[in-house]
Amino acid sequence: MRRNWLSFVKVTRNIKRRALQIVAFGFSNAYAGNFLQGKIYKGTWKQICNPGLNCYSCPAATTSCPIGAMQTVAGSIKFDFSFYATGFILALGVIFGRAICGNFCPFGFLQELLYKIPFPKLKLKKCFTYVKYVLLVLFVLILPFAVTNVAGAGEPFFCQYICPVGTLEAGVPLVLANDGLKSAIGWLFFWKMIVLIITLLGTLSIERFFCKVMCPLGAIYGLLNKVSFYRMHFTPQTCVGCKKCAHVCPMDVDPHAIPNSTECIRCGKCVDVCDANALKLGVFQHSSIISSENNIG
Amino acid sequence: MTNKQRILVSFLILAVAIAFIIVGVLRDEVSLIFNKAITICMECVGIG
Repeated sequence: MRRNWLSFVKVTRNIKRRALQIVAFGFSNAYAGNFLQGKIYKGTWKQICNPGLNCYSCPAATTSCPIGAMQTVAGSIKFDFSFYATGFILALGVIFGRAICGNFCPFGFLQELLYKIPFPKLKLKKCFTYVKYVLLVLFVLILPFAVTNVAGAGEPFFCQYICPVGTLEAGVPLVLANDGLKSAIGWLFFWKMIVLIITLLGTLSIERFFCKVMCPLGAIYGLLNKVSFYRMHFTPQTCVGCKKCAHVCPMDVDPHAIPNSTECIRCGKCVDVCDANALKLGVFQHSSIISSENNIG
Repeated sequence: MTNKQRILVSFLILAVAIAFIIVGVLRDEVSLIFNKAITICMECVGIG
C-alpha cells in the first residue's frame, strides 16, 4: 500500500514539472498571434529578462533573452558590461542553479519534446560539454565589447553567428511572414540555418543536445549549481549503489557520484527512480537525512 | 567547502547579483535592452 502511494507521488512530480514547463513556455511566448502578422510584441514586459533562453525577436516572445541582453549592453557605445542582465542571471542561478533549465526554459522544453520523436539515439562524449563554456566566454562575454565598428558599437556575436533558438523562433517565422526580410537574406541566414539543422538533428538523437553542448545560459547556471540554494541532497549512507539514477539521467550525470554536477538540470528523474530515497531536491536537507555535505560541501 | 561556507558564498553571490541589478537599473541599461527587444533583431534573424 505504501509502495503504491510512493509510486503515485513519483508520477505526480513529473506531471508537475511538465505543467511548469508548459506554463513557462506559454508565459514566455504569449503572443502567438504575431506569427501570422510577422511582427513582435513591443510592450513593457520586454524590460524583464526571461529566466531561460527565448529569443526576444520571436514574434510571440513576452520577455527579453538574458544572453541577448548581456550582448546588447556589452556591444553598446555606452557600456562594455551589463550589470542588469548579469545580476539577473546570477540571482536566478544562485537561487535555483540549473533547475531553470530543467523546469522553466522554453527551448529546454522544446528539446525534450523533439527527443521523443523516433530517431537513432546516441550518447554524447563528455568533452563536447565544454564547448558551451567557450561559446559563453568568447561569443557572449568578450567579442561583443572587444570587436567594435568605428562608432564603438559591437555586435551580439552569439545571437548573430551561433544561436539556433533565434533562427528557429525568430529568423524562420519572420522571414516567412515578411517579404522585406525575405529579400534581405544572405550567407549569414544560410549559415544560421546550417547551425539550426545541426542542432535539431543533435536534439533528435542526443537528449538535451543544445543544453549539453551549446547553451551559454546553462553554462552559467551550471557553475552556480555548486552553490545554489535549491540543490540535490545525497545521503551516501542509504545509497545501495544500484546506479538507477545515472541510467535515467537525461544529462548523463551520475548523481550519486556528483550530486550537484554542473550538468544537472534538477529535473528530478533520479529522485523519482531512487528506491533507497538517497536523493532529494530542495533547499533544506531532510532532518532525518545524515548528509555528507556538512563535511565535503 | 563546508555547508556553512557554501551558504555564505551563496548569500554573497545573491548580494552581488542584487547590487548588479540596482547598478544596471541606475545606469539605465534597461532602456537599452528594451529598445533592442522591441525592434526586430536582424542579427538574431540572421540578416545581420
